[in-house]
Amino acid sequence: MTTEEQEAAVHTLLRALQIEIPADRIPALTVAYFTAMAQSQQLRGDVTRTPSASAFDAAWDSK
Amino acid sequence: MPATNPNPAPRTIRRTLHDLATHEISTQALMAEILTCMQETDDAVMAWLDVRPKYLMETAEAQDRRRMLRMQPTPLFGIPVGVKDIIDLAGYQTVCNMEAREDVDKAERDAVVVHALRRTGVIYVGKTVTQEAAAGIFSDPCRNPWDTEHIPGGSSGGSAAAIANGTALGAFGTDTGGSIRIPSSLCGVTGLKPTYGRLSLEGIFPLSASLDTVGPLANTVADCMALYLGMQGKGNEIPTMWDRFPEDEASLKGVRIGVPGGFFAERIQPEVTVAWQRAIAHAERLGAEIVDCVWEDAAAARIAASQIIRIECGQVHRDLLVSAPEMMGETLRERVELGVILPVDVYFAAIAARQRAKQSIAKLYAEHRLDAMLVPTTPVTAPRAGETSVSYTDGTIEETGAALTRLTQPWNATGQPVFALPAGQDDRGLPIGLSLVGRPDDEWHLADIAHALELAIS
Repeated sequence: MTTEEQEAAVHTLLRALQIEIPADRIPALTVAYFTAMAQSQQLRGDVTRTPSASAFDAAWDSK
Repeated sequence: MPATNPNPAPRTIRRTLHDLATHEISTQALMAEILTCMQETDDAVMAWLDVRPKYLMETAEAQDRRRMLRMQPTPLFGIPVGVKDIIDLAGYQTVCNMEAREDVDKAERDAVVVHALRRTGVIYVGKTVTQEAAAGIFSDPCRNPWDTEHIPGGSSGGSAAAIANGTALGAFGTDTGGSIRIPSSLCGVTGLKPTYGRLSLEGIFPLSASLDTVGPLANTVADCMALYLGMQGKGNEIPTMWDRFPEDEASLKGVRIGVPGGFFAERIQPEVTVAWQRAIAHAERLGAEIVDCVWEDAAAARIAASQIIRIECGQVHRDLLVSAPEMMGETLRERVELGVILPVDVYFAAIAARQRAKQSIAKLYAEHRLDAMLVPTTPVTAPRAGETSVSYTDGTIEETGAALTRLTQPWNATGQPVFALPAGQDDRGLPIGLSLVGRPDDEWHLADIAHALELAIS
């Protein structure tokens, strides 16, 4: 995606949520949005490590 | 250096209780001392909001009368405490440093924790300054008492500055991404972020409901634990609590302390690293076993916590963003704009990552049989007000907010209790802070370790 396309995508999101923000705020928000999306992708990297609540509790209890 | 800190040997709650009980000082004299200090310094530090001197002196006088009549004093009788201005204090507004709440009605009742602590006999001095909506680390207009050209940290900046400045002996803070620990570190005071869920949040303005925590700030570990007991409604346990914390000896025999490399050792101001190493040496000298370890999920835990805060904070302030965005400060507005447009699967990914982080840190503690981990609270000392970034010796630069929350946020994701301790000063005389991270619901054992280390460091 080009920068313009990214900014247009953010603008579309804002419109869908009926949020109006001045045009000069869009570039910084776009950078923040796509950075957050990339961070989220990082978190998804290891989805096979499904946690189990019982395993969590047991681990803390073992000291 | 425009420093205002008048209190190099600050009053502790413990010592003050003794002085009050033995009539070495009256509650009125203590309050007068605090109000004088406030008058002399708060124009520069700006830690306080809505302080009512006449009411405070009348309350102090009433307490002295009760003491003269030998009426059974409550356990923290006469101790001056501040309340962060996102926490309800009956008869005071909870403005949260938000323009949109400037005309909000006064709270009709105390937050649950404020009410519980009130029953111990503390005197609430007033409200302390917070970052707007507790969403950030600057706490404008408050400044750092050690050097008023520097920030106190946030969002409980006013609470930490008030204690550092000698205008309160204890204070309430809240911690969602580091808001008790960061100002504790930057202002050289002690703070406890309890285990997530340990203390009631009723009557506290939310930032991020699944991460918000309330806790005490004070001058020592023992003082924090007295306040913590009071906040839980267990004030009756305070008088017998002090003996747990001997003032002249400390041992860490049998205690295993993890020292994580990797994430927690990268991009740290050199003086902070030196203080960290010195504290490790103290712990070892006191008999602790030091365990080198690496928590591989620390970075992911940090990202998970920051994503959750963004989105939950966005939901809290969404309506204000739509109806009156001009009433929001720049930092809050940026945060909320982003929080509301992030898709819901970002939130669920963060929730899942948080759970994985909880599991992996539990395993790490179990595998190494750790009682606690010792890490820097913040990688740098207090940045100068207006500085938007900090730089490191390796030439890298980091945005100020990101730098100050980098080492605190992982522990919000895991929900563990953390003691933030002062650990000396850097070359410019600014405080350095270290954190001891305990096992969930293990605040007392953590306090024992923190107290021993506090004695050794001081």
